[in-house]
Amino acid sequence: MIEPIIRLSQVLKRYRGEAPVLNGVDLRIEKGEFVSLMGPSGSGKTTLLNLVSGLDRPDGGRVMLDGRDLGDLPDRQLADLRLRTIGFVFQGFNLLPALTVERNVGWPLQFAGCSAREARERATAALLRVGITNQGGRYPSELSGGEQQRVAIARAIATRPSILLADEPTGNLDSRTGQNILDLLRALNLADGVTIMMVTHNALAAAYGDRTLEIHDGRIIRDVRVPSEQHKVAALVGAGR
Amino acid sequence: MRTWWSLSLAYDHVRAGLGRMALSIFAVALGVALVVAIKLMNEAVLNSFLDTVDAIAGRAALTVTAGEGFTFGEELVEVVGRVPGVKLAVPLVRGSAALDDGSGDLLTVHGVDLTHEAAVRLYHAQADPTEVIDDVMVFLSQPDSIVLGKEFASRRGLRTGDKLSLVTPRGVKSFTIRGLLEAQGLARTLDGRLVVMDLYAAERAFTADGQISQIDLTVTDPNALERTKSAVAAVLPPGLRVEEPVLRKEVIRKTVAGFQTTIAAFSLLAVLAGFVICYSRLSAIFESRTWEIGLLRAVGLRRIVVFVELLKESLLLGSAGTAIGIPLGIAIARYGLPIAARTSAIVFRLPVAAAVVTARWDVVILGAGVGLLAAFLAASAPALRLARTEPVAALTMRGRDTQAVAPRFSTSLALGLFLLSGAVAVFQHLSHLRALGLVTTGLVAFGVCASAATIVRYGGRVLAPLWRYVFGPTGEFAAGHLVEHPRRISLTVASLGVGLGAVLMFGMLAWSFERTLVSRLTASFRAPLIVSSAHLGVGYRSAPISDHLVDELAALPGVRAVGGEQSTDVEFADGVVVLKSYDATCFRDPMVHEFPLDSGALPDALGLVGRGQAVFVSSAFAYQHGTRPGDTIHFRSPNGPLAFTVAAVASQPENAITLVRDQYAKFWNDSHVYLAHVALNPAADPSAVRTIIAKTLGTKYRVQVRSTAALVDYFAEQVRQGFSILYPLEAIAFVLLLVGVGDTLSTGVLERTKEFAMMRAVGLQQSRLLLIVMLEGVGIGVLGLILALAAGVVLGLFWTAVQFPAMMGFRLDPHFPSSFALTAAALTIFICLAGSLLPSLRAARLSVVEGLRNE
Repeated sequence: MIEPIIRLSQVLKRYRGEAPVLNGVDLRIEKGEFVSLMGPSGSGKTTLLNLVSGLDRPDGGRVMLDGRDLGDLPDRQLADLRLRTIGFVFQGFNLLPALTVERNVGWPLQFAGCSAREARERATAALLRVGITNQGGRYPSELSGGEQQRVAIARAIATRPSILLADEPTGNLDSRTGQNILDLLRALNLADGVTIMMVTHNALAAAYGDRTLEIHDGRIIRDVRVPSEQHKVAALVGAGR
Repeated sequence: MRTWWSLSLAYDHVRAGLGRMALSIFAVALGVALVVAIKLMNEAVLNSFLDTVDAIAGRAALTVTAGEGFTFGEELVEVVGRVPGVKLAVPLVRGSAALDDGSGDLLTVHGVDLTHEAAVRLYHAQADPTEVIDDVMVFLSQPDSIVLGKEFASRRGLRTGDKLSLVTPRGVKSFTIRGLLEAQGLARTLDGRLVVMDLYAAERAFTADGQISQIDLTVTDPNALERTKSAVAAVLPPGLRVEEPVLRKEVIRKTVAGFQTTIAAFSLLAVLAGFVICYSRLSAIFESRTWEIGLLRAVGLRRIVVFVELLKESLLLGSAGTAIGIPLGIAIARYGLPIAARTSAIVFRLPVAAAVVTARWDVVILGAGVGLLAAFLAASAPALRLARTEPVAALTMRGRDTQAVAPRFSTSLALGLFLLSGAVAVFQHLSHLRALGLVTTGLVAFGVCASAATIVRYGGRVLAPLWRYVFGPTGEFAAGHLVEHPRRISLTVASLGVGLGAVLMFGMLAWSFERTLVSRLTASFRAPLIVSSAHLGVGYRSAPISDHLVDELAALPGVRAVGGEQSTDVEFADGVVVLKSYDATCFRDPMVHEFPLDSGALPDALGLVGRGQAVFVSSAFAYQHGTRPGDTIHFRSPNGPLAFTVAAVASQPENAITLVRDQYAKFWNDSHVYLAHVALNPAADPSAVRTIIAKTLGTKYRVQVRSTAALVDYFAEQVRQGFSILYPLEAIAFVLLLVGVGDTLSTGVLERTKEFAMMRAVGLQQSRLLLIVMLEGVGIGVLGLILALAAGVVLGLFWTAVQFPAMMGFRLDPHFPSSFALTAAALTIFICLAGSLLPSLRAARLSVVEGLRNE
């Protein structure tokens, strides 16, 4: 049996004195899958994403990434894993305001060991990939929300990660721009085989994935595979808005 | 790994945040500038004094003296010249004279034997007397002949053959310039302010017939210097000494060290204030970017990498501050050197030498080291705190204040630092280690910083009900915000506490000095008129005048009695004490002078001292040496060792011994006075007597007549001038305060855009928001003032009671500068209001819709 790229077994997470945020979560995500996570506020979606990325550690159970138990890895190796294996896309874009667009995309590459020139070249390529051209010298504050999120995606994919974690990537965008972003994520998933875990509140956005997981009170209460036709419907509905 | 060395990410952040980092750069630059300037000025002044010693000694291997400023009989020249190993023994008379043209320019006078070519060559390497003077025979035959430094002569447009009037202790005398000295040796060191005259003419004008200041010796065998020195010492009468000029340099080094350490303390406090401001700003800047740190960590940067990246920013900031600070420091040193040189010359009674600032690599490296270290240390704690923040928590910190240091910890730390500083102060009192004072000062300053959080926490709670009562809910909101954002507010309050605290401390020191001096002088000076030279001598004292002046004053109509006073410095134990001598009438007649005495004086103490059977010691002397009435003190005079019984401890601020002038003149060969206390007959009109003195003796001796009050004012003014460094320090503190308060409030307003928009949406008037922010500014000012007041009083008391007496030998009564403190407080509140004006206007004018949309 092929080891899934992400596997969670009986994962438990609780914050001081509170009820568990995640309560015995089991999950398998295969390489190349696009998985949408849905659920009401406080259901544990973002916590799940944080555990998968190694930003947070579970209080019980195991989180396996590409066959490695994250619980066994020291902080240093977890950081390295995030730098080379995982890309992050946030709802609030989180671009560094002091850096130009090109530098925002390129700085993780430099820390991953690329030379400044190589980082610049790969950043330009990543920006091209997300449809940002000739704007490398501008600052985030000079871009629209959609453009900022594209730059954030470019930053996430510039290191060529095998996993992309997106926390409500369209939450701060209007529906048309949001759909463009979802199209972009889907394209990356299909063309590059990047595994995507995306947290969303929007059912239409969730339909872009191969699977939709629904979390409630720290448990996965539904795991639905999305038929491929539904992707097209979602795309059409989005385009029609 | 190349990223360890790459500065690109740090550079981008510094460039983008340059506006907010400007204050930190300014603070570092200021600290570096003061360190560099004071170091350069101190070294330039010290080197010029040492050069003067070298130049005065010329190529002499040994020098015989009776102590600085005293004279002895010239018959000793022959005795010393016969000692085996001595090649040449050259007598020298040294003195100083003011130019009689109203400029007050002071010239150093050297009397040498101009008939002796080898003697002249000892001081002026190139000079055969015939090369300097057209006709040596004419020079020697005319007692008014002098040679003048060429540089000074050219500045004044003087040429050979011109007349020059000088105010000497024997009165105003006219001299003729018969030669000009090239800018070499002593003439160069003194910037041309050198007059050379024949030995005997100098004796008549400046000492007394047959009295010389020193004998310079060259030796036949430099390798046998110690043997020759011992042989010379064996033929000298008690009270005279033979020493190598290099030892005189050591004495100067030691004497100047205390004063220069005090000045260096100013620069250290500036560095500390710069450090606190830098720490405060960097903490605020780093904290506002906490979410960015979360992002860096989320993307995969390790803690250590994040920490190093933040430190790189601090190093760039420190480099910018250093790059500005070093040239600024050199410029300050160049412009400030004449003042520093003159102040040092006044304080140490040394001739003003031509000091030159030379920018040296070691000082540049020191400045750079201080700047980079201050920035590095200031950034370390906030950088470490941020690097350790969990990425998940950091990512949610956008626009939120981080948790302040636990109040109990900061309070305990402050208490610990205060206790430690108290212990160090006690240890200093017992051990007399002066350098410990700087450690105590530093510990108190750090304690002040650590207690800022506690002051803000509890002070804010006190302000809340008070402001609610005065300003209603607006006041409560303002006070509440102070408590809700303790870290940012605490750091600004800490900067204010240290900066204003230092200003208050120096204010208290200056005021205590002035009040102590004024009260002591007012209690002592009883004669309505005081006569002194119109010119300054070496140092702050007026130039010495022959004691014939006392007799001539006593003969004037309306004068009841005159008491002459002389004041000179003599070596005692390992340091220097002021030897104050008064005519016997001062001890007899309370209308001439009084000597307030501490309790425990021997019976008839005044009589004992007036008859030359005992001396007084000052309270500062008694404190330093543990001397009490009845003790015997021993010291050297040019005429041998002396032992005096201490009759009483006199309430005098300086480190002094008081004796009757007959004894002083007898043992120290000095019959000059520097003040004459003139008591009048009851029926005499002071202004009439004053006019008579001015008419009869004014032109002869160039004296001035002042009332006691005017003289006391003069001394008080000297103290004020000595502490004039306080005013630029105060100005710097207020500029930093203005920028600091403005920056803190601007940050607060930016971070609370949404909160303010919500308040406006709910219906709050613009004026209310304006008032909230302005009250916050005033709150910071009030809390900072409380801290500054506490810091200023504690440090002021310490410096007044312990450190200043230890360093300068003055014992002061503590006086709190109420008017100064009130003015500083009013200025602080005004500046806080000014600093809060722009942020409050921004808060009041923000768009509600935009603000509510703001993240």
